[in-house]
Amino acid sequence: MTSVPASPTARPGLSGFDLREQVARLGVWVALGVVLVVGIVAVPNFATAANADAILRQAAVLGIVALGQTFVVLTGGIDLSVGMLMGLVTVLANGIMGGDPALILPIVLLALGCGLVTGVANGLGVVAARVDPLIVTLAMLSVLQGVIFIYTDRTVGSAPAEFRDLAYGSIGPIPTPALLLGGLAVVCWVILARTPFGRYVHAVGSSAQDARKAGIPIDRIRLAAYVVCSVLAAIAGLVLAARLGSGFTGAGAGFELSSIVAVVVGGTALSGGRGGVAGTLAAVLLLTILATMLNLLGISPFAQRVVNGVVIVVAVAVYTAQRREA
Amino acid sequence: MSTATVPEGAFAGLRQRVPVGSLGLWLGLLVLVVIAATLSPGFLNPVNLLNIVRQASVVGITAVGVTLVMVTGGVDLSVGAVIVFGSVLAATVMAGQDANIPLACGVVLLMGLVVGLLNGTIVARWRVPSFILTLGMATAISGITQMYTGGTAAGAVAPAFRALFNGRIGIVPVLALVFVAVVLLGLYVQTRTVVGRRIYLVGANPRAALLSGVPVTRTRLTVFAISGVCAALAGLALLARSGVSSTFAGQGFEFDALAAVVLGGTTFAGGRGGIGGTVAGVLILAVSFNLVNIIGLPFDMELLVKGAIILGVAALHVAAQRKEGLMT
Repeated sequence: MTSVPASPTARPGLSGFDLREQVARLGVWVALGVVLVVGIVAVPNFATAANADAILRQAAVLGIVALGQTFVVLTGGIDLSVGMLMGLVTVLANGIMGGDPALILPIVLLALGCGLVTGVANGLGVVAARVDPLIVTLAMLSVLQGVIFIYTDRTVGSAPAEFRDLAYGSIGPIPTPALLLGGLAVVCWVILARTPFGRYVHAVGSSAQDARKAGIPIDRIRLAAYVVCSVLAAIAGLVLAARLGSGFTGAGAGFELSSIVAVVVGGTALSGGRGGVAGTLAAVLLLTILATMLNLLGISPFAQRVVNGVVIVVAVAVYTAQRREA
Repeated sequence: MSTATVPEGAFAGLRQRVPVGSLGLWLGLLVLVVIAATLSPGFLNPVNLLNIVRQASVVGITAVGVTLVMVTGGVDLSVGAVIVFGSVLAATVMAGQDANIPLACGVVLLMGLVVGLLNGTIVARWRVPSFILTLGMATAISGITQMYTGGTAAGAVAPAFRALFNGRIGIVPVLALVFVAVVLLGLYVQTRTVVGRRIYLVGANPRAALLSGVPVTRTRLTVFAISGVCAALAGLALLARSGVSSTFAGQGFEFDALAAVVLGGTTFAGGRGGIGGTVAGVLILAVSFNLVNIIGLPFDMELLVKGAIILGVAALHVAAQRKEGLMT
């Protein structure tokens, strides 16, 4: 077993904890750096402005939903309903708008409303009914899928050009969706790192019992985390709707798992309490860049799945090893 | 070192009081059955009841293995991918020839064992969280499946394989018998063997288990291996039922199995629950789907009802457990 070398400035008792946090926080950034360097040096057509633009646009949808998932995972929960919620928002948005720009604002409000209702329902299932989050959100996944199919069983509607700007527009040199992701990430980071609510989220995830004894309203914190998660998933759904341009019923499938993967690869522990949105953001970039590289290298999507699986396993194995040694 | 050196009192709170799962759960199943029987006179027909068991066999066989993993405090999400890979592998090895059936079954079960041992080794030795590890494993296996088949249906089922496993003995479907056999075997392991005792100790308190001389690593390895083999067997059952190997057939099986296990009272925290409750969970889900069909709801409503039932039964179950003082 390796021990932490004592430095004169290290505060006893805190140094070990800090080192662990730093390793968990920096691991994903190191991996991101390595992948970037490999891409720039070894992959043809990787280091182009067009490719960077494409990567940022592609990362936005997963990034936004993964930010929300981070809140829930930090409280020690999990949300499997986000993908289907994104699908519902995509179908409703494009289906109702049908190319009419006048309906953009009502649709945005409707999407946020869907997110709010779903989040409150998930949260109440977890805190009031006290059912395991995995079961609550799995049931919600099924319910949302049912609602999608009640609305339509085929690809419907279209997005007006103004709305598609949410995915394809640029503000200055920066793609609009990337700007949205960046803005939301900053807000989430400030909330988690600089507000009492953020501290409570970490506290509930570290030890719900201790948090309760410390007077933290743990039920309200958990409920709020699910609401934040669902509202962000709804926003991700709007960007997805703009990106796809039509209401495809299977649009959100898979985002529940890829968002969890991004959160975990980003160094947030599934057991809760440790981690944050910065790591999640780095993981989203890492996963998106990796996928782009594999595409540029002409590797089949099937083989890419294998690579993704291996990346997940290796990332988690490395984190676990680091946490043990720290 | 045997567990006999641990004082008997150490197990007191850990062992299931009722080996078949909680009473409330079976009452819930009974209520569903009564509702279904009232709505449709044909429901209680033994052929229909046995058909429900047959339909539940794929998820049921899988859930038995997943239960043992979850009692140790882990989870196995790779089972869905193993089921699909198993059915594809079996179809391609059989290639429509009856003579290849034993080889195909052998290869598939071996594949399940290898995946299970791989999961178990990484979880037990590297102490990687099993949720995310088996999720990664599922992604890799489904990628391998698609590379193997090129993304389309591949292979062909041998006629005798379907005749044997999708057939009936008297009115009893063979798949229902296989499911029951797996459940009985699982219950035997859980309640009558040393491994069965150890999984509860490992799940309830791994550190205490280790200090008491329980081989924690080997126990974890064992349950993942069992889970892999169960999922592979479920893949064979899926092939027998559907008759064609499709690379998408198993999507969501891992969540159906998980829902059944958790409905059955086995928690993610481990150390609690068991196969008896899981059987009740599997049957509740199966009867619910049958009920939705009886009422004649379209597929979209089926999904809504499925969600509502999972949530409702889970909430009732939690309320009942709280009353029994099992949860805070």
